[in-house]
Amino acid sequence: MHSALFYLAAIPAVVIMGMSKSGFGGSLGILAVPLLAAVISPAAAAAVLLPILI
Amino acid sequence: MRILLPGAIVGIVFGTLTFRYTSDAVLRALIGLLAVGFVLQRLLRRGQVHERQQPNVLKGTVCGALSGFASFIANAGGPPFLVYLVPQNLDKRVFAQTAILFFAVVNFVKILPYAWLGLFDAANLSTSLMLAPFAPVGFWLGREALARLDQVVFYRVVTFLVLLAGGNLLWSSRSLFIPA
Repeated sequence: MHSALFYLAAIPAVVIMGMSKSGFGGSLGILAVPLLAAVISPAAAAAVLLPILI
Repeated sequence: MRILLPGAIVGIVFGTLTFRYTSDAVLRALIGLLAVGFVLQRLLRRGQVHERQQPNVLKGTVCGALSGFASFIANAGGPPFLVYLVPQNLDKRVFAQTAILFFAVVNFVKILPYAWLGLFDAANLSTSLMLAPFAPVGFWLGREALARLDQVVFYRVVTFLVLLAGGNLLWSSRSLFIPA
């Protein structure tokens, strides 16, 4: 289970990623991994986000 | 596309090796550098007008490789891709189709090495599953915002957040650069 801090970073990260896919904010999906890597291991951050990206 | 993709595959291979053979601290530093570099590039390129450029195999391969690598370690393959394609002044639809196809292929190819690295374990996958519903929420918000909000302001705020997130990662991996 993850801490509250994790969700505090992860939920906005995924929301912004979704927003960038809608054409609003262009390539700002770049925020997601740096944000997540602050709270979990960087490799896990990339791995968690890839299935969502696809 | 034919020029960018082979480069991207090379970049993904390098990304895989980086994941395999470096520590979390090094990865954090790399992701931090990418994030800060992204912001700096934005600031420096503001208002710059490009001369129209022809497709170029060398530049395309290098940009493709950088894009594949950045995409692999931080899902940040966009900027090098744009550096190569924007100056070609492609038709809007051709440009969008190329971008969608390129990143679909890159993201798809990434699955195999991620799996090989053991990154798709139960913990990560269940986290993905839990977070996945928020992506359509963001998509919907983005569409609503497109009609109502000033994109430039949003852009500045998020770019600033990227800078903060990148700076934070560099700070937490500072022991790499400054011996204790």
